[in-house]
Amino acid sequence: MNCEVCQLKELEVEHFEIREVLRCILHTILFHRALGLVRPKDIDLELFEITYVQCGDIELEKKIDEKIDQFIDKVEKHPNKKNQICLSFYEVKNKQATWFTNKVERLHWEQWYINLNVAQHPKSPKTHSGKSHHSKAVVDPGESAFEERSVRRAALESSLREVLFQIIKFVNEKKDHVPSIPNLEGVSFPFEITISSSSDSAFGMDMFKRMLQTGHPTMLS
Amino acid sequence: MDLQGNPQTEHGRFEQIVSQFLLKSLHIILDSRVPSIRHDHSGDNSLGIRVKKSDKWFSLVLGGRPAALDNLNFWHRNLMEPMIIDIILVQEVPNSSSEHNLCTTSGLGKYVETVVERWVVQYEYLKTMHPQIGDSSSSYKKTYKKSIILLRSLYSMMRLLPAYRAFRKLSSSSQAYDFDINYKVSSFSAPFLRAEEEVMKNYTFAPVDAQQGRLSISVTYRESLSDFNLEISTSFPPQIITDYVGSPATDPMRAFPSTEKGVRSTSFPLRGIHSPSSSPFQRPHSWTSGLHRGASLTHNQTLGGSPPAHRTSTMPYDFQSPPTDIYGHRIQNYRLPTHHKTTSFDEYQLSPPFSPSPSPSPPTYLSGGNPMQTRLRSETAPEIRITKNWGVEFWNDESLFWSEGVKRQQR
Repeated sequence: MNCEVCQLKELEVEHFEIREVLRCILHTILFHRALGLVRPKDIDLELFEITYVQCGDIELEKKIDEKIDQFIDKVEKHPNKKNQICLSFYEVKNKQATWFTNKVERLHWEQWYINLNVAQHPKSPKTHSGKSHHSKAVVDPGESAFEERSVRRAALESSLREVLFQIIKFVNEKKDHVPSIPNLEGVSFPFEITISSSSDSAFGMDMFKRMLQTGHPTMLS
Repeated sequence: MDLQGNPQTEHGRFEQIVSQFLLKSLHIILDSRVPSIRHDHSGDNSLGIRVKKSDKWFSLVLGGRPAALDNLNFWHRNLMEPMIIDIILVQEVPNSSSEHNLCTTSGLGKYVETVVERWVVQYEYLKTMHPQIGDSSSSYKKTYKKSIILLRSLYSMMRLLPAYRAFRKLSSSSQAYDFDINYKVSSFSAPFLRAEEEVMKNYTFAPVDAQQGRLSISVTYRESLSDFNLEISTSFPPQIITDYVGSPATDPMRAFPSTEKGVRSTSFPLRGIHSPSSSPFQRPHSWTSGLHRGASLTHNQTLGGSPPAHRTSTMPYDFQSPPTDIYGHRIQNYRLPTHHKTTSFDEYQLSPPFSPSPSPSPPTYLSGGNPMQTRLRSETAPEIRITKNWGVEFWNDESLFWSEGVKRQQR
């Protein structure tokens, strides 16, 4: 069985946007992979005009929020431009009680990579000493910053929407590798979320290695 | 009785899946677009509340079952016909003359209807696909699993397309808007005009392989609704119009529909004229919900006057198969899945809530609900007209055009 990998489009986010963006993406992926009985819950984002769907599973929400907290923590402590969250679905293979270990083997069948570029802000931007009264178009810096922000916000909303479309496209095109459903309710497949960022020593290599291992055979040629 | 591997049972199961797939897609689409039939889901988010068996299909509990789904059972007899759902934006165009002329019977204000989304849900039969004899027992399970995913993505997509915003505006009960959303379901549709096509985009979900064919969903939608100026209705104060065509005053056969949101329904008065674009008389295989906002499609709707059920006996049966066949089959074969038969799938523990189906039946039409009960209840049974050109015109009893239909029959 091959492992399908989906690299989601990179998003440029501000600190305060991280939580909403991650919640939106992670829950959307999980909604499409929780094939047990689900009563969908619509959630409106506050920062964007986007509605996404949750599984309505409280345990799942907690788990996701915990991971997001971890991520935000890490980003604050070790600011990096590029950050990556990997949501990975696996199957638990029968425990092989060898005389070395009693390890349970996890066979990953799908991996999603969420790529976030967190904006690194210098300390508060310099402002002009006073408002200019010149007739020439001197824009109040506060105003232009506001405009910039809304342009950026609109761009992020559009990109986030693209990411959601990307998810939908992927889950529809690749269905054959989805294993049979172990649970009757809610999140049917075990999953794990791992966080990595560009400061991690093997960040780039790791990603590259994973792609080599799990990628399509044609990729290697 | 041997259930495993029996091809007839397998086929019956597969047909149930297809039928339920159509129902579920219709449910998802209408629930996300038409406020008047949407049910209040707040407060029942936990799965602790007993979920109806019929709602468990495809592991997606939606709650509330619009009567439109029962209508589909009547109408969609051939599983291989596409189910085309048009989502229609209806807007009032103000009369240039004074406001109070707007809703008189003689000169009603214009209503513009625009199809903002067209959904096509279909089981495509592909002759080239050879029947999978060897693994037929697992093929419908695979189809079922993949359909679950497809319907999940349909649900998500409903919230990402532009029309969702319009739906949300309407759903917010605090405001009255100067537009409404209506729908039409049919097995065929007039193609879009060139001008319309240019502003529409298409999205096709990856189809799900099924026995000798595939299940597919696609949508053509307007990229932007900003042209429509969907605003809060401020310039047309609510008026109670009592003498529009189709009201009890002008047509005693028709009782006034009960509305849940009185203010909203009166601010968007019923119209008595057909718009040229949607004359259902010319369209077999279709029905529309009519323009009642707030007229919920419940079984509580009562019609004054004679029940339409007996009317069908006076119509010429040019129909190819005798009508009794349709209903006869339905009574026998398909009831609500009252007991959940958990067939043990080997590795598959998720089982569709199949309803029991007798083996030798050749079901060409299926229903998952309890259509017979709605059919026989005379005051709510929709009228079915059988027309010469091999069409069954189906009139939802909330349809404004029902009264027109009655008049026609009486001629």
